Amino acid sequence: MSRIVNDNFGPAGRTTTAVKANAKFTAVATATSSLSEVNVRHEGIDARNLADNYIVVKSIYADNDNSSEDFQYNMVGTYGGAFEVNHTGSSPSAGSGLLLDMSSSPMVLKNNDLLRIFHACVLTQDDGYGRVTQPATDYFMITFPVWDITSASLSNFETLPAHDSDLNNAATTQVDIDLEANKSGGIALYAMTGRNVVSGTDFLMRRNGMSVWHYKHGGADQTIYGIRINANGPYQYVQIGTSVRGWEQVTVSSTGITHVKMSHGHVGALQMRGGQP
Amino acid sequence: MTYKWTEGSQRTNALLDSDEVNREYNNYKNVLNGGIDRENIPLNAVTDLHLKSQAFWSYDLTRGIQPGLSTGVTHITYHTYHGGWRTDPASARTLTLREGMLHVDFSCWFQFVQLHPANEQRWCRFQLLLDNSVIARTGKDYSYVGNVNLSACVPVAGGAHTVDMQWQFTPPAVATAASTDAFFFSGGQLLINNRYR
Repeated sequence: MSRIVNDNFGPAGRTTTAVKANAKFTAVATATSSLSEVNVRHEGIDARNLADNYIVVKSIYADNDNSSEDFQYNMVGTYGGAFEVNHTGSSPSAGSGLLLDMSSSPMVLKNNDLLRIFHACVLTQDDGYGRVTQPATDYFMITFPVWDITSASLSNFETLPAHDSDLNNAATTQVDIDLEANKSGGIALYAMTGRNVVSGTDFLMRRNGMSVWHYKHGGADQTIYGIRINANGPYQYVQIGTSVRGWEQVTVSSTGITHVKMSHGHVGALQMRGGQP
Repeated sequence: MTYKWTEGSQRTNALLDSDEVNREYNNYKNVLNGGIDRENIPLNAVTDLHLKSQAFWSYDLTRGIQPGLSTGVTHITYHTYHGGWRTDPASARTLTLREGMLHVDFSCWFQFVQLHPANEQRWCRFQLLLDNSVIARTGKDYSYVGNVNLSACVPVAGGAHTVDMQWQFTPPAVATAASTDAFFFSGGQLLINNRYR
């Protein structure tokens, strides 16, 4: 509270004294040192008074230029493993991929900030490299966001909080899913089978995956230098135990698909502040 | 301060009468006692450090949503589900909202065993409800794995409101054993943004 509560001089017609005048302006000085909502007129602040980005602190976006030739991943007779969804063409430059590069201007999450990472991609079976005709074999690929919170060199991308670290393992691994340390929000799944409705006729498998990861940051400031979309697979959904489900890595040869393309992808991140419960 | 006072500055006058001081001083006093507005505050002066939480918007985030009918992370079976819309308890949120816009966003992945017979093609679908009215709904998805992203922005009155996410899966065919693994979804995240400024 910083209202001024002193009274008028009085009675009318008398000459003021320096002591009384000083008391009044001391009250002004006191009030202005702790201005609060009681000093500001109701709805008195306009948009022009607000600094930029007072709700959306930072937003960043990248896509792959909508080229169907981007992000080709050749799965030749091996298990999969995590890999970057990179661009292989000439525009944009090779290697940029679905990367949000914030190394020159990092995102700094403060306590209670809301971070939203959304991404989508299209997985296409490369026609001519095998096709799948068994709809009951539930093979799938995944894409997921990872972040680099180590340095601006963007050389240490790691899984997001509460994701199984094996999600981003380049070796053959199994991803656990539970309700504690191995949550699975923000991960997009791409089915790898379709149905060859006419025997001997080529068909093109094409799947659209998308997901959003919502995260309320708690604690000390967290600097994020980069966010990237990685992929992994092929997987098969399995029961591991009584309380754990998982995605088990399967061989590429068992899927019948040796080449896939990840295309038409985009990734965006939104940092919002001031709405915490 | 860039504000132009409506009264003349007392510094330019000889102060002979207390009424003169009172009149001109009270002008300052009135501005400070609740009259400060956009004229007094410089451009871009108010940053997020000056703003109270929820000054412009508020959010409610629920993570780790998966079907309440499953045990742990196991599939729903036809022992407990025979079709129809189901509200997941974890995603039923009753909140006190302020008049403005409501942005509801739900995302998850799902998995089920698809069957071959043409008469038993399985599917699932999801929807969002605000006070039991549908505000967003997916179509039937026949893929054995996939993703759901539902998002809706609707105007909302002030007061208590309930947001639910509901899901639906194919009812069992005549020959389907009740113990058959039917359906599972996980990674569910429900974000509710209330924007009122």
